[in-house]
Amino acid sequence: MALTDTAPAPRAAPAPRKPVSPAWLTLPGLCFLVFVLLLPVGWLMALSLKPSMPGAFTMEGDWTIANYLRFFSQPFYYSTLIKTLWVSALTTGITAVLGYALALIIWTASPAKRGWIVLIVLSPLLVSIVARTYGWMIMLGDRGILNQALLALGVIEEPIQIMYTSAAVIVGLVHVFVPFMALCVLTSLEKIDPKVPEAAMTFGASRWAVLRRILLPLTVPGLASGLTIVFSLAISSYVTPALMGGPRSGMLTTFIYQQFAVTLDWRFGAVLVTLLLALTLVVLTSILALAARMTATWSK
Amino acid sequence: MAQVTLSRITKRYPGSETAAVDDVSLTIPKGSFTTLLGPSGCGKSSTLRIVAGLSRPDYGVLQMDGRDITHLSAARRNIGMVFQSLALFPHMTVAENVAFGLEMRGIGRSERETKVARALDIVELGHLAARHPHQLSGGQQQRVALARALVVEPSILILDEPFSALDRKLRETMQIELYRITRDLGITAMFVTHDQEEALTLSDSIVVMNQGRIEQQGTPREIYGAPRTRFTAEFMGLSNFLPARCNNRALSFEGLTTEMPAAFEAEGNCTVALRPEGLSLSSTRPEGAALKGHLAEAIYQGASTSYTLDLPSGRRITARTTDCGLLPGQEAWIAWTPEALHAFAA
Amino acid sequence: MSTYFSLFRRTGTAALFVFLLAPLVAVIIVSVNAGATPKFPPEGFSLRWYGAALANPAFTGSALTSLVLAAVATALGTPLGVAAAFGIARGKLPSSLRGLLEAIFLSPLIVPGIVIGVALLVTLSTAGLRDAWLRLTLGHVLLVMPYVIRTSLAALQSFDPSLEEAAHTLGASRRQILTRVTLPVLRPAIFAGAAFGFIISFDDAAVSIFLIDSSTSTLPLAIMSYMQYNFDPSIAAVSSMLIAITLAGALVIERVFGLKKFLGN
Ligand SMILES: Nc1ncnc2c1ncn2[C@@H]1O[C@H](COP(=O)(O)OP(=O)(O)O)[C@@H](O)[C@H]1O
Ligand SMILES: [Mg+2]
Repeated sequence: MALTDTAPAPRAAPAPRKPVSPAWLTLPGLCFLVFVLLLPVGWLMALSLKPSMPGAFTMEGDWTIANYLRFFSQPFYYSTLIKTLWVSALTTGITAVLGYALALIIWTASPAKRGWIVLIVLSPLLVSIVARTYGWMIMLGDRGILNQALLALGVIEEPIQIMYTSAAVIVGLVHVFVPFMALCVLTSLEKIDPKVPEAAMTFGASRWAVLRRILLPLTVPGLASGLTIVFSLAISSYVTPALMGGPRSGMLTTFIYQQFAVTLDWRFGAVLVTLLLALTLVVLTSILALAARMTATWSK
Repeated sequence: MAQVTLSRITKRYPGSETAAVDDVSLTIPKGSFTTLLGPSGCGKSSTLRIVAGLSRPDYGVLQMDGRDITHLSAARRNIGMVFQSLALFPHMTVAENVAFGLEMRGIGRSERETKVARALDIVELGHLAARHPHQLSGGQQQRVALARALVVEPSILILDEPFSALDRKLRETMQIELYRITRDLGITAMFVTHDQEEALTLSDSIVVMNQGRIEQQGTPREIYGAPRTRFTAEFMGLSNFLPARCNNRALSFEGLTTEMPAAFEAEGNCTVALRPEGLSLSSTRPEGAALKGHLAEAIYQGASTSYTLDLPSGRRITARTTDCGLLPGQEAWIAWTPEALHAFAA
Repeated sequence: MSTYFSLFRRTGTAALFVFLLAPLVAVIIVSVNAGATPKFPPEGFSLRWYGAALANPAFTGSALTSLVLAAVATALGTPLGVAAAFGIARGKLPSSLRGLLEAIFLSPLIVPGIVIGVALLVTLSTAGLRDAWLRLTLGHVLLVMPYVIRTSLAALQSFDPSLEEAAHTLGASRRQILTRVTLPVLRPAIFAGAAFGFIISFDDAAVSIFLIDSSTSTLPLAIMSYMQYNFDPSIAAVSSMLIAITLAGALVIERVFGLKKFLGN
């Protein structure tokens, strides 16, 4: 730098050197995702358009939609789609009610209790799903805790079959998802000024009315994200249906496992994968769109 | 300490029609406390960031003691900056925060410890050196930020609205503290605020900015006592603007002609402002220049009463004086002390 | 009226807590059962099934595999995720491109695990890559990355840019700003994402089930396959150990960051 004593001559700044954009930092991760997720999934979807041939996993053969026709023409196949949908929907519904209740319990708890409730309630979220599902198998088996308790109380004469039914699958899934739902709702609840429900009560609103008219509308965003997360996790869950519904749970994911690991009909299995993905996307976008419409009037 | 000179500094952000900093030339003398004062969005922070080296001007030259530093990295300008958000490093203790700049300058541990201790003593925080920022009160955090900026013995101390988040009482305490420290250490400082009282309290020199341009520069006394434009006058709390004409230092407005106050320059059409605190009301005509008005409203405010008067021209005037016993509906004569009358072109 | 409400509320709360904790408690009770079948009430107290579980190479070997796999996947996925989060947050990209990138980077959270597993199985087989470790590592990095991205992105969005400017004015170089200020400030968030990713990887069954081979299995899959033919309490013992480890981890996380913040989405 030169030292000058005279007043400086004003001048335009030189064109700045363009630094390398940090956007390039996404490149390694992006390459990884493209090669390990997007291309493989695309490849698999393309494979679904090749004639079914057990054992074959290459791309040879003509393009055809025969696999899709086969899926939609046989009740044994398409019933898995329907069953997956209603089991997931029921799971999501029950989870929503229980998760909402749980979120309200946490929200209204005193700060001292709150940490403990959160710890007790949310730490199961981190516990291995296999271990938790095993716990339900102990509870719900033919000679499980529930049956033994009911027998001892004389409510039933014979053990009732719960394991390997859709009910077992739903119970197991709800248990896995309730903390997720509670967290989503809680995020929304915490944005509400606690004075709003109080104010409503001073106008004579009952607790029920406060819940229905104030809390519920204000928690739509949290509820919606909870519903989407739970529904998409439910239709794609594998461990719980496989263990609690048995190999013939009739759910799409266990059917996929069979096609790829047992029957080895990968091209037909690819149809199931494609349908599962499509289902996930449709559900996600429609719930999000619905929530956006419901909150459009008051959120930004 | 150093003298900092801005020459024709101009900065336009991409996508913006107007320049955020528009041809600003300014000298901050060695050891002076200079304040940029202006409404939000007038380009104060942009100017400050150019001086700090956090943003580059499109045009113009920045000098420090005659040396061109326009394109010198902020890291090498030897400045101490206090940010509006304070920007204390949350993962470091108070002592580590303060030591950071010394460490970056490669100063050894023992010297560092002495300097940190001294800086913390200056801001009276020696006993909290081991705490983390989130364990401190707002005022204490403010002092840490100040110590961190001072410890490097900066050529210039730069502060961007550092007190705007504090409540009034704490803000006043911090202002006094900052005044004491900067004057004790003879620091060259560049300060930004939108609060005119704060600017008047702290500064040796005030630069009023408006839409990226310098509106007026002067001592607090000059800026407050003799604003040269209506913008500055309004910003310094003046009101009661009346259209006037000036002819060879004879000032006429509202059918009255009086002598132009000495501190002002104007010729032809101009504007007169009467400081509400400098007005007095009476039911009889006082000696000297006075306007007659119709008292429309009187609002008791404790130490003073705020009167609204309608002039014959239909314009309104506000006067804030001790209670004069007049009631709304009555006629009143308005007189003023010499300092209450301001005049400026247009 | 309000006492009815509070009674209703209390029973409801208790029932909900029982529902959430019962299976975990049941597992622990069964694990200390002296008898050979999971019975309730237990036939005496014994730790024999813990001994049996720890002596079973199917469990110990797969537990080691799961640990190493989760550690490797976290070690690879964390830098990839942090870099991607920086790129997205700091890249000054047009918002549509930014949204697209975010969607792509978070897509492993939406794509069902079983689909990830099958897709990798099919393409890697086609490419002639049949090594279980390679397949598992690729799949699990995919599992870890989005969690790291999510927490890092959230932290970067709430990051006060004047922290970096302050460091810069104090004389720090770009590199020093990154290593002394930015990364340390983001560290809790990065750690939270990595910890979550580790747990997800360790717990995964759906992605791994297609990627293991006859000699390499993960703990959840070893438990599942053991369960197909055996129902003895050694599974309860393994599960109890998993529960204990997880709860200890949860307690630490709760102390360090607050569990809720950690799990929050
Ligand atoms: N980084 C930026 N990009 C684009 N415009 C900016 C940026 N920073 C400030 N501006 C604009 O420049 C003008 C001056 O802003 P600023 O210097 O922050 O004002 P002040 O500090 O006086 O409130 C404003 O109109 C503001 O919107
Ligand atoms: Mg500003």
